[in-house]
Amino acid sequence: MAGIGFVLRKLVNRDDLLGVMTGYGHSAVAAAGPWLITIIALVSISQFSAGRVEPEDLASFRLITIYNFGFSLVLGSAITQVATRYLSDRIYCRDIRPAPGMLLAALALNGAAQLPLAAGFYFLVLNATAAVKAAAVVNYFVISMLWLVAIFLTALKAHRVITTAFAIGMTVACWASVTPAPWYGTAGMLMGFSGGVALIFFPLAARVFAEYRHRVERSWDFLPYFKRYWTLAASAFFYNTAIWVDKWILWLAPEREKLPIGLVSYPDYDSAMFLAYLSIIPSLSLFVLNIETRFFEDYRRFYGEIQRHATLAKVRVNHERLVECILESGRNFLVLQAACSAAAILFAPQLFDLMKVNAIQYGMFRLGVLGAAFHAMFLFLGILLSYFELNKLALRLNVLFLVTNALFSYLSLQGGLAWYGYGYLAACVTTFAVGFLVVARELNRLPYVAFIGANSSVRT
Amino acid sequence: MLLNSPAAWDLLVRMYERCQPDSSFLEYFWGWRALVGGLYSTLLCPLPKARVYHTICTGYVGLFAARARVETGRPVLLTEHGIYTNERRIEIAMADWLEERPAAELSIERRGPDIRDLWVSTFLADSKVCYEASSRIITLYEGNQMLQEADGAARDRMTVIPNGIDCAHFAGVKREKQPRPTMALIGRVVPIKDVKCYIRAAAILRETIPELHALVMGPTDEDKTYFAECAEMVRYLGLENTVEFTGRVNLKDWLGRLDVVVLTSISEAQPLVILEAGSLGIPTVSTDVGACREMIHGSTTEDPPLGPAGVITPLSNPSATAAGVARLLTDPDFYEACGRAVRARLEKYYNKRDLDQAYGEIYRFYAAVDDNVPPGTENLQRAA
Repeated sequence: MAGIGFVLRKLVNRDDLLGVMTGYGHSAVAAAGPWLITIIALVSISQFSAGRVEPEDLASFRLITIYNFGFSLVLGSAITQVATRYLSDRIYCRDIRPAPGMLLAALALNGAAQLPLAAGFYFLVLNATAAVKAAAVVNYFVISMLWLVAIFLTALKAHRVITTAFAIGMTVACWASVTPAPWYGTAGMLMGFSGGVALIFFPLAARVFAEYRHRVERSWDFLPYFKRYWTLAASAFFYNTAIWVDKWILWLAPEREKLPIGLVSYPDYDSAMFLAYLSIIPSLSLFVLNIETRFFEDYRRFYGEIQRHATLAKVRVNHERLVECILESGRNFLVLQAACSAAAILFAPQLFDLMKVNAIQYGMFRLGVLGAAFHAMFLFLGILLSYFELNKLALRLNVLFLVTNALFSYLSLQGGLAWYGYGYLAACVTTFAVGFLVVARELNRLPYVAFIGANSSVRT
Repeated sequence: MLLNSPAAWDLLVRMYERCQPDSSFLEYFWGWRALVGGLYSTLLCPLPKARVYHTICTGYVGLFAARARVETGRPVLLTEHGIYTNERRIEIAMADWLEERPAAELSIERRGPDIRDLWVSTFLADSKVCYEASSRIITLYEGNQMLQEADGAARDRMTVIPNGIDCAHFAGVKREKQPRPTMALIGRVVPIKDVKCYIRAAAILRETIPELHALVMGPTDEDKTYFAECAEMVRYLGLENTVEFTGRVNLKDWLGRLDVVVLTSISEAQPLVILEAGSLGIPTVSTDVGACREMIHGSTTEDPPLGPAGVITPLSNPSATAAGVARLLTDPDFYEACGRAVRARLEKYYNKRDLDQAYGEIYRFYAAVDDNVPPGTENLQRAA
């Protein structure tokens, strides 16, 4: 979320409704960017293509893109996280000269690391024509590049360019994936979709080079960050794996689908969960807005005044204020989230009718909505931990999330259809509960944390 | 663990609130860590077994000696050349020096009086503990004893044993009369030696003794900024042909060429250079610091009085220094008398052989003392 705070504060301070709304929009993108893109893309393509494409082609296409979104997020998470941290540090140090070079180097590294995996997987496993295999690999590559350039999203000043790129790219992706289908089948759909994603990627990349007009230099300077911030990289990897692990496990359910191309999935569970995630977007953006504006100011005051030789009494006052701000943000979030979750759960039948979704998903969807609410809260705890540089704690929480989500999902799988969804819910509740206790303890002793617990120059 | 645990944090916070709740907590935090960290390492490092422990200063070393006293019950001897607390006080007060230290201590200059108090009072407390544990408190000269007493040392445990020199060491060195009257400051070019005062004195002297040669003999690389300032001052005063920085030299090659040795230090313990020069009959003009007065005028117990061996001046007073040097260079009778006095005093009171023997006796005495005899009562113990 490099640099989003400045923009958000400016937008909110405009003091008109549009400014606030734009602020919310950007917060949502910042908080859930890639996730949001994934879900919106999948949902809209399903809606758009219904009746226009051979069901079998659509299913293959859908599944390949799900695989691509999912695995590229997981496998690229370490690089993305490290690059984000590096970019934030550069912005903080007001030395953004290496930024364009870093983007190129990160893209190269990402490609070198993931392309062989994707190619190996599709060419060995996929039961399809070479064209489909190649199109699947290309699609994977384009999507994983998009994640990398997305870290610049919030740092860029040209928001209209971003919004336009996304709008045009997504529209083109939907149109271009559906239109060639009758003639070129799955491969055509994939290539069309890749074209749309490329239409997002290239303008964004161009925008990065336009705003950071520096020679490509110190491209590989971010590499030491992998060692220095290995906890961040590992955290991101575990978190993203955890997000997907319940789906992977449910892909083993008896109700799963095995497509002729050789890939498995459980579409009912997947789409129920994707839809459920949508229910947290409003409160997510509210929270990010709060964090990046009011909280960030209190946060800066707390640390700034320590540096400016405040007395302990003053430090305590700032500490209290900070905690108050967090509690208030949490309360606002709870109210909004409760409303959204309740609405999503109550109006599930109408919603499903509207979107023509299989009614078998009700149960899973409702559990997913509940789980997502806890998931979002846990996400915020993670954001707080990273603000206070408690990266090791964040790492442990993410590992806990991964382990519980895998374990409980596996147990729910044993329980049968009626239990699907409980695994994710139980994992989210557990992780949130543990995370809450951890964060509450650290928040209560924040001065200690600031001076000793998270102070790397004290820990030798 | 001892510094980083929540319990340690609570201790820090309680101490801060008790002592200086209105000062910068950040400074207190780092100061506390440095001081308490030092205390813990002193308490935790391995303690070698010995019959007698002899520490050469208070501070952390003194604390370590006190720990030895408590743990082993064996007597502790303290020989303080400079008074540790005093040196710390000067160090903490001298912003120049503090600015020289990068990184860790860079922030000290911004410290308010409070954090300085913390440092000074901690060192003072360290000294008290060490004085309390020491059976004998030895120092180089009487002036120091007043400071020790003020810091809490018991008068009845105090002894003066000055440093001595080997009178034969410079025996081979011949006095070579130089064409120009020559004076020298023998020491490092650092602020505590107040070389600037010496340069000013040279400027004053040149008015009456134009051919004067003023040497500064000692390394110039310890405080490069200060040296640069001194060099600048020489240029500014047009003293290029008078003042000469020789760098580090072998004293044996140079001592014979000098007429007067000058000390302008603002702090010294017992500068041996006065005795070394004295062994060739060279008198000294010195500021009134450390044992300089005792070496030049004799101690209060000197009997019979041997007379002055040079001139004592106030601190940072270039004209007094210049006047002292001028008197020695222009009054041959006074010069001769000083040369004789310093040689006689050296032979009688500052002979290394005799002084080594004094320490030998002290060691033998305390090594034979029983375990756990309260410090300072060993004599009674032996008598009984």
